[in-house]
Amino acid sequence: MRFNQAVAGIALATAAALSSTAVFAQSAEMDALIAAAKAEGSVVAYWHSSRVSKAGEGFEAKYGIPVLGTKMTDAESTEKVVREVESGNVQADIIGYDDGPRLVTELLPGGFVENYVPEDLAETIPESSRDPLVYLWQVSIFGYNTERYEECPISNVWQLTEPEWASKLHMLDPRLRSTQIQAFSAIEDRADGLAAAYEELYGKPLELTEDNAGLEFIKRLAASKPILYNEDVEIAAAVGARGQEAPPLGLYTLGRHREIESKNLALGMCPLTPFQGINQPSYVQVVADAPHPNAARLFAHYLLTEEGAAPWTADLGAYSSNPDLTSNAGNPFPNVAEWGDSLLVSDNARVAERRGDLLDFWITNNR
Amino acid sequence: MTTTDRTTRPPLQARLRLLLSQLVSEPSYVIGAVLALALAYLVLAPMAAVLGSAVQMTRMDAVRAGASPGDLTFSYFQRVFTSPVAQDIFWTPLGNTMTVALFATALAVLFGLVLAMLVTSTNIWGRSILGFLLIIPYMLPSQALATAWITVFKNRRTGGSPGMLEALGLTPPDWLAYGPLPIVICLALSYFPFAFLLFSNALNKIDTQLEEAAVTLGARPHIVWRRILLPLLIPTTMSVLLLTVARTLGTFATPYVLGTPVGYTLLSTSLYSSLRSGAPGVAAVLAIVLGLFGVAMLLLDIWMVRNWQRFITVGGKGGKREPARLTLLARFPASAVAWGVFLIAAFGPLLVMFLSTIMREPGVFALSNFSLGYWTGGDGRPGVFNSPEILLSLYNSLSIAGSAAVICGVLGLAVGYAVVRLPGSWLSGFLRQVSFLPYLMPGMAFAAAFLTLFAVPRGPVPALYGSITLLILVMVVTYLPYASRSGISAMMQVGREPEEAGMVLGAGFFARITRILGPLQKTALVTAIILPFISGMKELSLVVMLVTPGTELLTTQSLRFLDYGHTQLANATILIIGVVVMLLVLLMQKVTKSSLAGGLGG
Amino acid sequence: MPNITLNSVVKTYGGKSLAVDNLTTTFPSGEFICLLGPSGCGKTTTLRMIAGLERPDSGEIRFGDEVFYSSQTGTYLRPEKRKLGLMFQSYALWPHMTVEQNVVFGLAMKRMPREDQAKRFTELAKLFHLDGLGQRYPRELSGGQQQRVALARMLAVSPDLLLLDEPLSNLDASLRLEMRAELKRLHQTLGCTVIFVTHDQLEAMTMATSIAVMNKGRIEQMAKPMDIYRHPSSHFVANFVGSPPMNMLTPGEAPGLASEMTKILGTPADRAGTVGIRPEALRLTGQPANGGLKATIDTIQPTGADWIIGLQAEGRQLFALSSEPPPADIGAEVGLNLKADGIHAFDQNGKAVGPSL
Repeated sequence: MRFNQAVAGIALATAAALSSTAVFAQSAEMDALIAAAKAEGSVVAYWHSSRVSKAGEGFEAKYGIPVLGTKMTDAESTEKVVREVESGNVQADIIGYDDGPRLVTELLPGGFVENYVPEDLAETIPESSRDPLVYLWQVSIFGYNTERYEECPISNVWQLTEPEWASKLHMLDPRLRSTQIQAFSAIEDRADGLAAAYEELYGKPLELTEDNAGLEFIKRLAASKPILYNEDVEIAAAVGARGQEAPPLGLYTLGRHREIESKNLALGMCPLTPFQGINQPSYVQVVADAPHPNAARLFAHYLLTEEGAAPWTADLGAYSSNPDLTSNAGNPFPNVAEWGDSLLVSDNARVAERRGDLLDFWITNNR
Repeated sequence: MTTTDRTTRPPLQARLRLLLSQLVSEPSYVIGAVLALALAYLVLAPMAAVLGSAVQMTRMDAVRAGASPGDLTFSYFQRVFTSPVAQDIFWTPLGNTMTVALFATALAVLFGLVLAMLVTSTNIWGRSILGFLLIIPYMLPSQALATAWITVFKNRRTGGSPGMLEALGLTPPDWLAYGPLPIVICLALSYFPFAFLLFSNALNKIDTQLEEAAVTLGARPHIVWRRILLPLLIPTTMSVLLLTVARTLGTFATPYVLGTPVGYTLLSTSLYSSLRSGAPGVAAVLAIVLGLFGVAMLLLDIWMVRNWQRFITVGGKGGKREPARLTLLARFPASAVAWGVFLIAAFGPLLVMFLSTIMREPGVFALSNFSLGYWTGGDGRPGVFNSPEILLSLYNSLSIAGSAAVICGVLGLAVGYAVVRLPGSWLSGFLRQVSFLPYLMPGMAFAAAFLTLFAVPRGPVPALYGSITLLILVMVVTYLPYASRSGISAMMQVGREPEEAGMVLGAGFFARITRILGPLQKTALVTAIILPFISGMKELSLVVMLVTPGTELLTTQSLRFLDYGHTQLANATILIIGVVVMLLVLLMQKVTKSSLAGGLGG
Repeated sequence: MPNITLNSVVKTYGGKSLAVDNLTTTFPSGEFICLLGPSGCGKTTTLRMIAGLERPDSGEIRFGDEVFYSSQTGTYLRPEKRKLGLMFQSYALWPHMTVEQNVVFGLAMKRMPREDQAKRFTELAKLFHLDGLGQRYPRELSGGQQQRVALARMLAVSPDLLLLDEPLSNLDASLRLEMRAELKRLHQTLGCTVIFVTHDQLEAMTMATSIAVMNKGRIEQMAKPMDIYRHPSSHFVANFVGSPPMNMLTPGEAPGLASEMTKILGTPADRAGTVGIRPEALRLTGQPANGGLKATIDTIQPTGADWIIGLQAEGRQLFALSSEPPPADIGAEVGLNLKADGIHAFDQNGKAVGPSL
C-alpha cells in the first residue's frame, strides 16, 4: 500500500518534472537564467529547515550547481543577513524563512532581501502566496495517542483549558518560536469563532476577562501550563509513545506522522472545533546584493517545481504553494486550500503589530 | 651650587635621547602600549557594542514605534526591570541564577576541596591516577553531563525515546529529571575539577613545616586541617569561588537542556530566548547584568588579593606531603568517594554517550540491539568514521582552537611580561584587569558584539565575518584570561633578574626572549596554551553565531546532528571532542612534565 | 632528665636511597647537641625521626625509658606525646594567625584555660621581647622577631626536649650572632636537652656542648666541639670542621711538606694515606731556612682580627691563618714552620692515624 503510494508519487513527480522542463525549455529567459546561474557556480542558503541539504543535492544533480545550505533559526539568519548586507560583505544568496511578520516589516522594507516570483509561475501561484513568496505550507495539528484513545478525547479547543488537560498539552515554546506567536495572532483574529465554540461546548456564553475571546483562550491556555519544547520531534514522540496510561495531547507538524511506523508511535489527528491546527507558510527570499543572484533565483524556482519541493512535500502535511504540484497521498486533502478554515492562518502585518504584546500576554499568564 | 644643578632641567633633546634609549633597551613599554591598545579594541569595544545595543532601537522595534533604527531608547531597560514581564524575563531568572550559582558553586568547591584533600594528603587507592581522572569532566563539553543526565533520568514529561530508568520501569520524578536539582548537580560536577586543581595546587604549595609545627604541638590531623590548612586555603577558596560563580553565571547548555522542560529559566537561558525571539536589545541588557556581576567579581578579587596578603606564607620550602595512612576502615570509603565522583562525573557520562552510539534503540540491553553502525556507517546513514562533515569539523576545531590557543599563550605571556616589567604603572594594572574582563562576559553576548564589530571593515581591520580569522580572534579574546593569568604568575615567579643578567651581558631584547625567557617559560607557555585549547575545543555558545558553512566546528556540528535528529552522531561527536582533548592533555603533560594545575595559577 | 637513644635506626626513601644508615648513638641528657654535616647527610631526617614526623624503617628510638619508636614492638608515639619542641628552618609560623595565636597554639591544644594562655603569652613575650606584638601577623615582623616568635611558640608548652632544624640559616650575619647567644643562654637557663641541626660548622662550634658530625647517614664522630676540632677521628670530620679548612695532602702531593709532617707526627709513612695541617699550625717566617720548608705568598685576606694567607708550596695551594700580619708581601718567598698539634694523618679509609698507633 505504502509502496504503491510511493511509486505513484515518484511517477507523478517524474511526469510533472518532465512536462515542466518541456515547458521551460521553450522559455528563453529560463535558459538565460540557467546559464547565468551556472556561471556563478554555487548558492549559499540560510535555511529554516535542514532539508535544504536534500533539495540542494537535487539541485546540484540537475544543474550542477552546489548548494551550501545551513540550517539556522530565523533570528540567526536575520542577524546574519542584516549585518552582511549592512557591511557589504554578503555571504548568503537566499534564505528560507518562517517569520513572515519580520520579513514584511524588516527585511523587505529595509532592502535586505528581494521578493522574487518566477515569471513563469506568477499566474499559477495563488496571490496569497506571492508577496512575499511562500514556497511551502506546513500544517500543524493537535494529535492524540491512538493506543490509549479510540478517538480524540476532546472535540473542542476550549477543552484544552479544562483542569483535566492542565500540563497535558505539549507544544512549542512561544518564547523561542515565533510561529507560536503568529498562531496566537490568528487566534485573536478568530475571536468570534472561539466565542461561538465556547457557547456550543458549554451551552452558555463566554464571560470575558480580556478584550476578546481569542485573548481569553490564550490566557486560559497559558494558565493551564502546557509543556513547552524547542523542537517538535519530541512532542510527537511524547504524545505517541506506546504504553502510556495518561498520554498527553500535542500540537506539532503533521509531518511527524511519517514517523508512526519507523518510531512505532501511536498518533492520530484531532478534529477540533473551531480549528484543528495551524497552517504555517515558509518563505523563500533572495538576499540583496547576493553574490550569486541568478543561482539563487534558479534555486527559488527549483523549489517550486515537483522535484525541488519533494524533500518537504513528500511528507504528510506539507504543501507546495504551487497548487499544480502533488502532495503526499496520505494527506487528508490533496491540496492545501481544502483545509480551509480548519487551520489558523495569520496575517503578517497584524502579527508584526501585536507580537510583542501577545508574547508578553503569554508570558504573564504562563507564570 | 648642587641645588641649581639638580633643578635645571636637561635640554629637551637630551631627555628625548634618554627616553629613546630607554624604549630601545626596555621594550616592555612598547609591548605594553601595543597590548593595551589591542586589548582596548578587542575587549572594550565589544563590551561597548553590547552597551550600545542595549540603548539603541532595533530595526523591528523601530518599525513598530515609527522611529528609526539606532535611536536612543531605554525601553529595553524598562522591559527587563519594570515591565509586567520583567518578573519572567529578569527577576525570576535572577533568583534562579543566584540559587543555582550558589548551590552549584558550594558543591563544586566542596567536591574539589574534599577530593584535593584525599588525593594530595591520603593514601587512597589509585591517588596518582585519580589526579588525572578527576579533571576529565573539565575536558568534556559542558552539555555532555546534561545530555547524559537526560539520557538516564528523562521521564514522560519530555517525549522522544525513554530515559534509561524509564526503560527499566522506574519513572524518575520531575524534580529529579529536570529543574534546579539536576542543573546544580551537573554544574557542580562539571566545574569541580577547577576547584580540585586549584586546591591540589595550593595544598602542594603549603609548606609542610606549617603542619608539622602544629603536630608537634599536639594537634591531631582534624585540628591541623581545621586550624592550619583550611584557613591557609581561604584565599584559594575565595578565588575558586569567584571563578566558579563567574562560570556558572554564564553557563548555558546545562540549564537549557535541563531547565527548559519545566520552565526553569536562568539569566543565560533568558538571554538566549531573547536572542531567539528577536529581542537583541533585551538580550543586551541581560548581558550587561551578567557582565556587571562579572565586574563585581573582579573587584572583589582585587580587593581580596589586597586584603589576604597575610596568608602568603613566610619563606619556607614546600616539602612533599607524606600521605596520611588511613586505616582500612577509612581508606575504603575515602577511596570510594573519590572513585565514585570520577564514575559519576566522567566515566558515567562517557559510557552513557558511548552506549547510545552503539545501541539501535536506547535502553534495550539485548545483544541484537548493539551495532557499530553509527561509527562505521550503513543502514543508509553516514558513520562517524566516514562522515565528511565530522572530518572537516574535526580539522576546523583542531586548527581554529589550536591557532587561537597558540596566539593566546604567546599573548598571555606577553601580558605577563609587560605586567611584571612595568610594576606599579597604570599600564600594568590596565593590562592585568582588562585581559581578565572577557572571563566575566557571557560568551553569547560577546559573540553578538563581535559579529556587530567585525562584519564591517573597520579602519585597518577588514571584514572578518565568514572567515576563520574571526573565530580565532573571538576565541583568543575570550580565553585570554586563562593565558594572561598563567602568564602573569609565571613571569612573577621568574622575576626580572634572569633577564637583567642577560641584559648586563649584552643580550639584546630578541636574544633575551629567545635565549633566556623563552626556555625558562616553556612550561608556562604550554599551560597557557593547553587551557585555551581545551576551552576552544569544547566551545559552543561563543561560536554558534559565528560559524558559516565550511567553518563548522565539532561542537556546532554536533548541534547540527541534533537538528537532523542524529542523536547518536551528536553524542559520538561529543565523545570525539572529549577523547581528542584528553589525549592532547596527556601528551602535553608527558612532554612538558607540567600539569594543568600550574596553568590556572590560583 | 633522660638520654635519647637511637638503636640501629635505618631510614630509606622510596625503599632505595639510604638516608640514615643503621644509626646507633646516645645523645646525653642536658646537652646542646649539634648534628653537623653537609646537606643530604641524614641529619634532618634523624631529627625528624626523633620528633616523630617520620618513622624509621627499622630500629628503636628511646627517650630514657620511654619508647618513641620501635620496629620490634611496633611502638610509635605520636609527636605531641613526646613532650618536645621543634623549630623549623622556615620557622613555620602560621601566616593566618597573630603572634599570640601562634604562641599559645600548643597550650590551646592542651586545653589550657584562656586566661592562663594569655598569662603565659605575657611571660613569653617579655622573655623574647615580643611585648606589644601579640596582635601582629607574622608577615609584619622582622626576621629576628619571627625567629623569637617561633622560639616562644616552641617553649610555650615547656618541652623536655628541644629540636631545632637549622633555625639560623634564614637570618643575616649580625642577627645570627645575637641569636646564637640567645639560644645558648636559653639552653643554660632551661637545662633541657637541645638537638640542633646545622650545616654551618661555625654555628656548631660556637653553640654546641657536643657535636655529632654526620656523613652518609652515619655519625662519623661525636665529641665536644674542641675535641672534634683537635682530634678529628676521620678525614671527613677534619675537612668539614674548621675555617679555613684543614690543608690536606694526598700521597704524592708536596712530598717535602708531607714527609716533614709525618716525621713530626711520628706516623709510619706507609700507614699514612693523607696528611693534613690546620691553617693556624702553618707558621710563616720571614726568610726560608736553609734546607727548610718554604712557600710563596699568593694572596692575603685580612679579616680584621686575623690574616688568611694563601701560599704556593711545591705546586700546591695552602692556607695559613695567623693573628700576625704576614711577614712579607705577595710574591715573596717565606719559610714555613709546622706546629705539631695541628697535624693529622689519615689512612686509606679516612680513619685518623695517631702517632701512637
